[in-house]
Parts: sequence; C-alpha cells; structure tokens
Amino acid sequence: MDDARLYQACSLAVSLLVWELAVGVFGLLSPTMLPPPSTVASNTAALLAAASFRAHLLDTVYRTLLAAVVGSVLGTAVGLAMGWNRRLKSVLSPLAAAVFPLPTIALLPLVILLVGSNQRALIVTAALGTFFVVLWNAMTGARGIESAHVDVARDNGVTSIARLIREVLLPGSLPLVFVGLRLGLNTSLLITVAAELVAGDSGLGYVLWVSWMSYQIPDLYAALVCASALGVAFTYGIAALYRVAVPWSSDVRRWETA
Amino acid sequence: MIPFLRRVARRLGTIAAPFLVFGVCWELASGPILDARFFPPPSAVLSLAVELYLEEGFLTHVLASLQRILLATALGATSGVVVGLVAGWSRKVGWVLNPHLALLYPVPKVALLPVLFVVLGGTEMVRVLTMSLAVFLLVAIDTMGGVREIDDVHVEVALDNGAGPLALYREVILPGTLPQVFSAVSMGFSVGFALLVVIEMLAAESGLGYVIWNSWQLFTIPRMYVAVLTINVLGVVFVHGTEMLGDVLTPWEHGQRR
Repeated sequence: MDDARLYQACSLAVSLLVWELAVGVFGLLSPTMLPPPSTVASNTAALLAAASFRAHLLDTVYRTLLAAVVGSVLGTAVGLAMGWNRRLKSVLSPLAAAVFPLPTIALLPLVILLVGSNQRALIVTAALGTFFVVLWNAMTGARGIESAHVDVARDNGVTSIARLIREVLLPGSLPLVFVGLRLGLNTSLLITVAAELVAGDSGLGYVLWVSWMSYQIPDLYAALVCASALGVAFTYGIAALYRVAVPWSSDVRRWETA
Repeated sequence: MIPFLRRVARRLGTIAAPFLVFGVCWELASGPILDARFFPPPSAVLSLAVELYLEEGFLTHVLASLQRILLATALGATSGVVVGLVAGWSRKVGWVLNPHLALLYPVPKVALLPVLFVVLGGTEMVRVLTMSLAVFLLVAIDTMGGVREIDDVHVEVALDNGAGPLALYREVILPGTLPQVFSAVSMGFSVGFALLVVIEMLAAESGLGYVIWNSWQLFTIPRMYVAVLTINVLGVVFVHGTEMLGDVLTPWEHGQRR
C-alpha cells in the first residue's frame, strides 16, 4: 500500500514538474496563457490574502452548503420514503425519472422569475438540482436494503416501527446517505458555480466570468484552483467520514478509487 | 399475446398517469392561481412546440445541441473505456493514472470551461472537449473500478483453460465491466447535458441552451418552455435509454446489482 502511495505521489509530482519546466524554464508554452504551477500557486495565495477574493470564495461556499443541506435532506427523506412505500413510489417515480436527466441550470431563468432576486435564485436552483439527484440515488438505493434483514428483525421480536428504523433501516441506509451527501455536495457545487457564471454578481463563478471576459489570467486560475479544491475537499472529506461511520461496508475500497 | 399487450398497456398507464394528473393540475392552475405569463398552460406550450418543430430555425438549434452531446459522449466514452481497462488491469499504469483521475474527477467541470476557452480559444472544439472530459473521467474511473472488481477466480479459470490476452479481454474482462460502462455512460450523458446547457448559455450562438437564454432575455417565456422541454426529453432518451440498453445487452448482471 505504501508502495502504491509512493508511486501515486511521484506520478503527480512528475506531471507538475514537467508542466513547470515546459512553461517556466524551456518556454514551450506561453506563460501568460498557461502559467507554471508555481506561479499559479503564488497568485492564488496572494489573492486569498485579499479580502475581496475571500468574500467571493465564502459566498460560493455558503451557497453550496446551504443548497446541499436543503436538497440532500429533502431528497434523502423523499427518496427513502419512495423506496419503502410502494404506492408513493408508483406515483412519484415516473416524475422523478423524467426530471432526473434535466439539467437544473436550464431552469435558472424560470427560478429567477419565480423568486425575484438573483441571489436567492442561485441557491434555489442548486438546491433543486441537488434534491433530484439525491432523491434518485436514495430511491434506487433503498431497494438494496435486504428485506431478509427486516424479516429477521421481525422474527426476533422487533415490533415497533421506530425500533425497526433505528436497528435495521437506518444502519442499512447509511452507505446510501453518505453517497447522497457526496453527490449532493458535488452537484450543489457544480450548479452553484455554473449559476454564478451565468447570472451571479458574486462568488467564484462570477470571478471566473469576469476574469474570462477581461483576460485576468491570475484571477481565472485562482478561481479554478479554489473551486477544484472545494470539490476535492467535499469528495475526500465525505469519503473519510464514511470510512469512520460505516466501517462494515465492503464499498470502502471502491470509495478510495472513486 | 393479448395478456402481454394488456400488461404493457397497464404499465404505460401507470407511468403516464402521474404526468397526466400533473399536466391537468397545471393547466387548471395556470391563470387563476399561477401567473400565466410565467407558467403558461401545457396546452399552449405543446401547441407552440408543434409550431416550432415545424420551423427550420428551432430544429437547427436542436441539431446543434444533439451534435455536441453525441460527439462529446462518443469521444469521452471511448477514451474512458480504453484508459479504464488498461489502468484497471495493470497495477503500474493504475498507480500512474489514478492520482490524476482522482484529482480531476471532483473538479467542477464548468470552472474549467473559461480556462479552456482562454487557453485554447473559444472554438466549437473546446466546447465539445470540455464536455467529453467530464464524460471521460466518469467512464474511466467506473471502468477501472469494474475491472478491479472482477473476481480473480474468473481470470485464473480463463488462464488455466488456455485463454490468451485477447480471449481474456473478450471473455472475462469486457463482460465483467460492461454493466459499469453502461451506467457510467448514462451518468456521463446527464453530466454532459448539464455542461451543454451552461456552455450554450454562455458561449454559443446556437443550441437549446442558447434558445433558453435568448428567450429569457426577449421574455418569450413559452419558447423557453419548449426549449427546456426538448432538452428534458433528449435527456430522458439518452440517460435512461443508455441504462436500458445496458440492461438488455448485459443480461448476466441482472439480480446481481446492489
């Protein structure tokens, strides 16, 4: 395993070094368009020290988290209910299946009309997208909880619904909840940045838009680095939490690669 | 034959019923409860859809979007499968590629868009490239996971029975990973559509995303609905269609799914 870590670290380091040398030392690529990693890092650090850039970063984080929490909680609740209740599912699942492939960003103009303010519309759109993705995931995953486990619990004298939920359904759906959280955070981040790009007046997506239009290359890369760092932190943070909270899952290895 | 037809009819009925109820509610609410300017009745949207579909102008936008998504998915899926198979099979290649895939995977792809536009120029190729990168990462990582999940026993049995590398790929590895490939391509389509809309809203003069944005600015809300509806239908066809195709083409996976 340590061997693997070493190889992986080396692989990343070599790529960064090649990039650095190709641009910075040998001048194979234009450093204004594609600055070497050291320049990107120092520019990003400098911008992060500036309060205005930090405010944009915090705006994105705030929107992403708010939308992710609202969307994931509602999505998981409705999705699990649909997974366990056949009638509810037969009514709602065709609608959910139809909406799932619709890119929520396409609804942004409608949400703006509906909500009135651009700022709230960004959050509502991201929450909406998160809701549908998490709902779909929770619904398909709820089937995976084996009915044999429920039967065993019943046979062993679990009669109350509350106890059934606590002992079987909740632990059984934990892996699912974590996948939902990861999906939710990443979807929310993606839609938030996209919505800021299209219609925001603050946030990382807005910085990307402005620096793209005015060719502010350092800002452009700094915004990309920050957005990527958020995505990486969400994905691997949740994966680490998952390993702690659900140690019995056989999925743990798969999580490390994905 | 008759009972079969009856079963199909009933199944279609249960799927269609929620949509009908939803549509009728909307139709009745549009006007008295909902503002008809923002929520035109479905009948008006559908009749406008028929009108627009018969027009050449709207169809060129549909075709532009279709061309982009199909090209991007074809590029991303084929390269993803190749890279995933190799990186999943060879431990060394996996070590070299995995950190890059793992680092790029959580990056919100929309944030890459402005950077790619600045570095490579705002061409049609860059639009397609950004989408295909997202599809590539999904497919590569899932294919890699699929190869790694193949039981060693299957490989050993094949080798003991004299399978060469080609036969091993065809008889063991491909059938073992194909279900993951299909579900990854299906997910790839849904991410691809999201990017497509953002790209067309921001940086294209054609496509359904452009129509949505343009209609919003001209305040021709029904036209926007037709575009959203069209993109939704395309999404359903490609996302769920790929999934169904996977279920049909990989029947050995049935019942094994988690």
